[in-house]
Amino acid sequence: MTHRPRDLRVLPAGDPAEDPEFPPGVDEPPSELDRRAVMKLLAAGAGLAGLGSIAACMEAPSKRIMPRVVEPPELTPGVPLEYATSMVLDGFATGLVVTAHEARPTKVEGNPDHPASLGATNQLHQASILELYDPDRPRGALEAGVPTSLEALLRSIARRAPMPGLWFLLHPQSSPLGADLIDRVRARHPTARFAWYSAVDRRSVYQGARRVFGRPLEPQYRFDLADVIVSLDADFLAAMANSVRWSRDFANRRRLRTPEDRMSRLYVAEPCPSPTGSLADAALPARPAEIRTLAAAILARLEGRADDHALSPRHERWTAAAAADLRAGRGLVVAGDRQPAEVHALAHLINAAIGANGTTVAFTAPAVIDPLGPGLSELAEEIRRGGVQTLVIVEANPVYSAPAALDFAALLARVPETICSAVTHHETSRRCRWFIPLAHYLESWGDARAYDGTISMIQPLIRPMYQSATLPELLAAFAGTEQPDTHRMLLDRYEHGDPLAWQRLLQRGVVTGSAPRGFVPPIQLTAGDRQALVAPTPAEPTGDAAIELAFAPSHAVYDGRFAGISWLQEMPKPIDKITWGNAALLSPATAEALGVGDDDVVRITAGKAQVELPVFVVPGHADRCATLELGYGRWAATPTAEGVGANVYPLRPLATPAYATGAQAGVRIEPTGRRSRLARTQEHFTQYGRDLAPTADLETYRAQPDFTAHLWGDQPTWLPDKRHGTPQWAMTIDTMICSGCSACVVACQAENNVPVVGADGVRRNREMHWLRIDTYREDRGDRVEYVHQPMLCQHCEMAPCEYVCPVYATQHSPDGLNEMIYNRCIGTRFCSNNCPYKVRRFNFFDYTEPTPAPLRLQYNPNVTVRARGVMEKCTYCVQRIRSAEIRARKANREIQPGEVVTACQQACPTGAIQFGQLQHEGTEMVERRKQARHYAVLHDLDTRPRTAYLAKISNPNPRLP
Amino acid sequence: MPCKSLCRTTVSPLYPRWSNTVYRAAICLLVLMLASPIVLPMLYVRSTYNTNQFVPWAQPIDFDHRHHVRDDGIECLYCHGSAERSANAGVPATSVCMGCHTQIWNQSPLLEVVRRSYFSGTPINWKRVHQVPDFVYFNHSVHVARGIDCVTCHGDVGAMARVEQVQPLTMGWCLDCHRRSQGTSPPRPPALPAPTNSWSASVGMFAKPVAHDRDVTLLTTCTACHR
Repeated sequence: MTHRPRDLRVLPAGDPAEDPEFPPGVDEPPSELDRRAVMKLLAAGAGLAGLGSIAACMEAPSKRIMPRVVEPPELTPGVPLEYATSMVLDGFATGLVVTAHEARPTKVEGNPDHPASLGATNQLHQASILELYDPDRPRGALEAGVPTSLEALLRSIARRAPMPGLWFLLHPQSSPLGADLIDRVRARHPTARFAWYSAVDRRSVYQGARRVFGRPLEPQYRFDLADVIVSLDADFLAAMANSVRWSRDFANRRRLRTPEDRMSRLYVAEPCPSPTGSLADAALPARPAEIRTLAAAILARLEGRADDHALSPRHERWTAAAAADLRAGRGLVVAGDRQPAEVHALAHLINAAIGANGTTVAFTAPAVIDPLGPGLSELAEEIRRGGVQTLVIVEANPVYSAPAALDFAALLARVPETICSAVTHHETSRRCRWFIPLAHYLESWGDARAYDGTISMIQPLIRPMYQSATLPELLAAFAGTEQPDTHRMLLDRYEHGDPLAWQRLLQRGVVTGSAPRGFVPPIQLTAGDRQALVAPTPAEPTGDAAIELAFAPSHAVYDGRFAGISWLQEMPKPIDKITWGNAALLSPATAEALGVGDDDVVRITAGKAQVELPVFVVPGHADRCATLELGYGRWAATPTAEGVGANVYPLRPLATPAYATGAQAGVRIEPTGRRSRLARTQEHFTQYGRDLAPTADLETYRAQPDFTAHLWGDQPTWLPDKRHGTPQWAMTIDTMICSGCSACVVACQAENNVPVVGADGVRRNREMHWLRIDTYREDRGDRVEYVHQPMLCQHCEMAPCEYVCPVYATQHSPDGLNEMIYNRCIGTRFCSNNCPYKVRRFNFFDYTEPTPAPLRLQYNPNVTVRARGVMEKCTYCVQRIRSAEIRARKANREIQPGEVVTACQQACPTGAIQFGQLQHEGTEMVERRKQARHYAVLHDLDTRPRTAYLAKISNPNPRLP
Repeated sequence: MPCKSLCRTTVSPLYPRWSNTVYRAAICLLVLMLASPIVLPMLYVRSTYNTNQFVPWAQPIDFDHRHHVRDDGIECLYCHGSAERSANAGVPATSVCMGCHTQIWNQSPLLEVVRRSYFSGTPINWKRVHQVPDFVYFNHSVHVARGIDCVTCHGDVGAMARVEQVQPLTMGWCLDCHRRSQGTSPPRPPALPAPTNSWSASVGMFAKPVAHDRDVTLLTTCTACHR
């Protein structure tokens, strides 16, 4: 009983090169195998739970009521309000609708009116609310570590004479207001320069467009129109700028209603299976450096040229099939952000060759300001020349994320005046002289453009919790405004003397019609340039030593900026289910060649940098290649972020930040002989021959549409039928379009006050997620097929858990819910033992009791914060059902179709999860249950689950084995 | 020894007659002792001592509902308006008090606390009288909308100098109403005086046709209140 999740620091902080990576004893047998300890825990837990519930019953009314002195007219205590706002990530805004209870924001949801959201979100949006309440947020401005007045600091900045050598280092920005302010800053400080930096760099997208079309452009893809999609290392469903929208578009084209429907075919070439790759019909493991050859080979085939690229037979087959399909159907080729400009240029040429430009691809001017402006290397160069007198860094964290060869920390020390602004302290901010706390987006006014250029509004949900400034205010101070006010600046820009229009704009969250029209520019490519593009890549060394590193932003913590958010740290990552850290992902063959397996620590060397990481073997990974996730191993951040995983940024070469080839960077991987157990939530990825998540390809499905018939229907039973009364709630999940992106997992955590248990807790299988995504993979000869199955309480009509509860703490409601009553639960865990789906979670510790003060504000007041010693599980968001019922009763009407949306359904970008009443004929949820491919998980047990699944149908090319 | 003499001998009883009574009493006591760990807590939680009924709590202001409700005829919802819209009925904001009391009794020493709260911006710290546990999600608005009178649960507050809890507010008490079949018996105990001047649109509504018209469904499922 040593583990208390009070401090979620799992690994010691410090320089990863000096400290041992993992604490001693971490690989000892986990104590859950110790039966006596388990019994002791059980007894203590049950006893305390009993005591707690008795104490709760005897509580005297000790509470006070403190009404407001003056009640704002829009506010009624107990009635939540929703506001439209936007979250900006590396310049691209996603529209959100945020719920506030008594003026404290509690839940983020997507804005249906916003083109980049369509009502859905990703896991980062869902979790961003926790950063607002981070207990470690700085409380005020600092000068050399000493508190100072923010107002005075901004005033002194505003009064400065034109400053020579003034540089700004910002994340990419798309704010129209910001663009104005940058002009104003330049007017006041004529030599001011703005450099743009994000560890997840998208410059190659614009460089590729410039190479083909003569200017930087943003490709606008129409996945809903494409029959054949070829992804060249592009995880467009989960890791790109417009992924939330693209997921919906992709799913709309892909989802089958009848076996005769057409569905798109997805080709994906990438080093490590991504959420997109896990839905691929033809996945090709390819090292990042091989992608260019693949693209050139496809283009050569389409143009009918002799293919002189040296390809392996497997790559040859894949490119031939992709090229043939692209020519036959309405195609679309997408290149990944981390690929170099040549691959993007080749993708544009392929799209032009198949006539996709104008149908499935159009172009707009980039939403971001100055897309190919100076970057970190230009800034570094200028610092080395001594030309930077004052450096203003907002949000960006180059000390942590710059390649080791740049040694940005040393460069930063050479700048006389450094000002850093960030929401929470990070490695860079701790090395700057002045620190200005940045307001969280939920406390800020602002504007930004979405990926398609739509202007989106940012409005605050709460007054700044601490003294802080927004980026426009900071820029305005440099432009000479002494008391900058973003709200005022926005009014000047958008109100146009019409307060009502301004209110409507804020309500909607977007400026309607502000997206530029897409167009198809003419190709401006000289013959020589074209020749250089399509020329074969020089052969690479193929010895055993040649290994390539592929760097990917983490699906959980992005580039590390969200590492302080415990929800994301504990979110199992889609493919490997690793939480609280990163691993070196290797293919089975590569791991075998190195003589390592899961959890074996390897030392990875690239140039002078060395990192030690445990290995995780991923079937379907490219051979002679390791995928490393960025964003971990923070050493000077918030306590949650520090020391989780290992920092692989130093391994990145300067020239190609997304990958390092063995030849170029001297990459070596060698076993250390040590082991370190990764905190994974899923240990087995096979179905062991059981039909848990059936799959079929399109031809089989068409030949035999009811191939899941044996997995559906009632079996004989003695038990009484529970399908009575109205309404009857149910859920349908289409595994065909689930990419495993895990937005639902975090949404469920946010909505239902699900606690975080820490890495050690996860290692002991004590994670509390009510909704998990089971990922199964099947070896289909040449390829690995993935299927993601979101697994939550199935709300069985014949629920095994209900029969065994000695205190009737779990019951069946007349409207078809399997209810869980926490205040009645005494923690016997019989129900969990009897649940075949293992979706019930037990509070082994008081995970919620040490919640620090500001974090408590996030709790959803409509859901009980569970104490220690009770069982908990998915309730189908019963709080939302009941409040909809109350709304309907008050208005004397029935609940309308679509009125109750569960948190997971709401977040799901592809719309794979649908919820509603069985009586509501015609709704998506009911229509899907009528499809032939529906099934019940563990149907043979006759639990009669209310959650129905639709089998995954893939559309492989018959000519590919 | 001859049998006859033995039979004639009167043997004095080993135990006196009253020992039977003691024995019976001891058995009763034993049964009571065995039952008491179960029965006594059950009695205790139902006692008014535990439910905090009938305690006229002192409040920071001696606010007299009798005066405001009976003498002035102010409706309940004038001050507790969110009972119609929200889960919480709430206590009015200081500005609601001051709406009248800037005009009348604006010099009264009894209202010093209200004025201080209003002009200093600090809320009045009321003692909470009616309280269900945190794991109970009670919603005022739907009860009001379905026509449940305020006095049904809160008693005749208009007759109270200091507000006290009249009903036990226990789960059994909630279920008494929720389980009662429609229209058979009024949920308001007949002993209570009819509200003289409170929100009382519901007088007679529990006659059968009204209950039917209003579709008063009686939710007894656990998640109706526990989530």
